[in-house]
Amino acid sequence: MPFCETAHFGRIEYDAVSRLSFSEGLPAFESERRFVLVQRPEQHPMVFLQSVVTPGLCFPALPVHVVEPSYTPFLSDHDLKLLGFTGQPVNGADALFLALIALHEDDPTANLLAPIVVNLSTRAAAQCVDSEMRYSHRCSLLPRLEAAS
Amino acid sequence: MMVMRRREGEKILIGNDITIHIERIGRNKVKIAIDAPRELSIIAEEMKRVREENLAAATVDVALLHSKIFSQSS
Repeated sequence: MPFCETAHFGRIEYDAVSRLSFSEGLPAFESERRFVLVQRPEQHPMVFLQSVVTPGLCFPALPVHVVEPSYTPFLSDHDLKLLGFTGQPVNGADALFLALIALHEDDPTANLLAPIVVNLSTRAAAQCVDSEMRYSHRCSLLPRLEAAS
Repeated sequence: MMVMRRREGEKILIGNDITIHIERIGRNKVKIAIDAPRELSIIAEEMKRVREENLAAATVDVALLHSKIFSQSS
């Protein structure tokens, strides 16, 4: 089984078919093409997008529906082609949508403007800017978490 | 800020080296061709925000984030 070293989780083993392929990398990390998703029960529903090449590169993320239950995907023609979709994918059925999480002034925010989109049948992945620009790159998480608790 | 009205097919010149060509105007989108020196970075504004957010996400203190998220939801 392939494995990689990580700064947060130590050495992790992963199933080769579950490895995500970002053919264009991510903005600011264009050379990073291969990632795995790390899930830990104690941090559910948070997931971590971990580079298999760079141990210290790990993005915390949440499924977009956790952040915005009414989220509906709208990918550009470029991104549809890049990910191998013939029409708009359905979140949770043929695609997984994850929002990367950052901290600003210690407040967690989610990037819904440009979610990570994974084709669940091919594991092709990309960070796709919403082509209608409907969401913010810094959606505050705290009001949403309070409403959910 | 300078504001100019241009029709489809018209151009704007910035200095001697930069040409902005309004190629096509759709219902709510405009296609623009930019001719500029290679050393100038040209990106859509939202891509700058995405880059900055990615850099911030990559350097998150995971323990702090965990405490922020889970102290709220518990």
